[in-house]
Amino acid sequence: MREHELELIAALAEGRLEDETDARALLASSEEARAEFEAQVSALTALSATSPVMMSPTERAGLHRDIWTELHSPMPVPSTPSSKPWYYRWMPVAAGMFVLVGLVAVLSQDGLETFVAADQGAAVTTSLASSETTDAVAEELDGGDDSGGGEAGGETVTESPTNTVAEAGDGDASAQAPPAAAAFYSAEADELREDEESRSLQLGGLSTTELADCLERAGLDGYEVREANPTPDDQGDPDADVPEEAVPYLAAIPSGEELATAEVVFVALETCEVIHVDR
Amino acid sequence: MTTPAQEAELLARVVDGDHDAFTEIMRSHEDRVFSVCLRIMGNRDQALDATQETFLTTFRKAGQFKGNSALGTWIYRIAVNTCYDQLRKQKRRKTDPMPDHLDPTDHSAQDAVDAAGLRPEIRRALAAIPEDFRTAVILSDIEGMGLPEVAEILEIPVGTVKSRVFRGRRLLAGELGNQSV
Repeated sequence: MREHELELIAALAEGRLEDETDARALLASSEEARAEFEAQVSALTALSATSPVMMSPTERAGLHRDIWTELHSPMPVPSTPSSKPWYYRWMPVAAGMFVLVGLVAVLSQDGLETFVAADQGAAVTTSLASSETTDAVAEELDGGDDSGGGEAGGETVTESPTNTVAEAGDGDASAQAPPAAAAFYSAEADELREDEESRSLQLGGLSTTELADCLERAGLDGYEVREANPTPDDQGDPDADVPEEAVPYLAAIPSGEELATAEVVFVALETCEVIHVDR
Repeated sequence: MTTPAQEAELLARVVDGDHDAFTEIMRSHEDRVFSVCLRIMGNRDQALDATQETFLTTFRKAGQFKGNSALGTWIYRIAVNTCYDQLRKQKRRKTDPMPDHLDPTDHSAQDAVDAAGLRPEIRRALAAIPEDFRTAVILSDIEGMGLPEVAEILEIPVGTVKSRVFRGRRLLAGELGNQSV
């Protein structure tokens, strides 16, 4: 069913429509629409029977006591915003990664390892899926200073972070991650798309704030998280073939798009960098 | 209801260490924070812990509030994330991976049922649906928050909230139907 039809059904079930003609016509013409409507009404009816909850006077007094005890004992002071935005720390790393990815995309489809080994002396690992890459590039650019503060090692950023997915998508997406890991991520993307209806949203116990922060740092504005997997090597299936190069990740798609046809972007949880794009 | 300017002034006083201002903020929002925490946690003690942690975090981060949303929305966002964090810690600590109130087969948790203001079958049905859908349904349909406010709290687009609420209700209805079979 189309999105506007589902919205119409929801509005009818919630009693928000001034004119129910279109909604009633939809129900009359579609058995699926009637089933959806009945499910919405059933759930709303059940939920309307919930009782309001309040703290008892004892609970309230205990809450206040505990809070003030905590606040009074080591004289906490509310934190003030730091003088520089949080992303200043990551700008040198982001600058280095964008330059590296851009050079790879221009120079070679499959020569990332060869290029880095030949020209850099293999100090930087080739796998964007490895957290060592971030540290190595940071050292290359900052001379080991990871305190951030915006003092990049001479590299200037011209690309916007939002170019990350486009750059990652140029050419062979598997150049982002080692082939074995890329195949693993692609298989995960296929599984995600196939099980859209029956599969529950798996966030691996991570908070939405953490995941949203990671999306933002990856430059994925307008994307939404569909899955997070902090332990890809612990799939619960002893026969699962998880390559060693696979790292903890989140999978995101453009907001508002159908999962079945959307591109799935994989972001490493440790570095919040795009490691694979599956289309 | 306080205006944005009044909220900003209150927070500025909190940053300066004015505990009376913080008391005023607490009294304005503690009931709803507790209600949200109780619906998510399903246990009064855990909800009180989460409520306490929420306000402690609010106090500590008062200087970081940017005013992009209403103060209440910001506090409820902290509350939801605090509950998620506590549920995650519980799952790691316990040998049984699911807290009692989230175990749909645990019929012994009758206290949690009444304490959370939910009928047993609704509690079990909610426990059986994915966490993100469950939270969206709790905030929208039980707490009565508007979709834009839920979107701000969960830091997701309004369209995603609509989708999660719609699908959450659908799944909830399915679970309730299964229980009645």
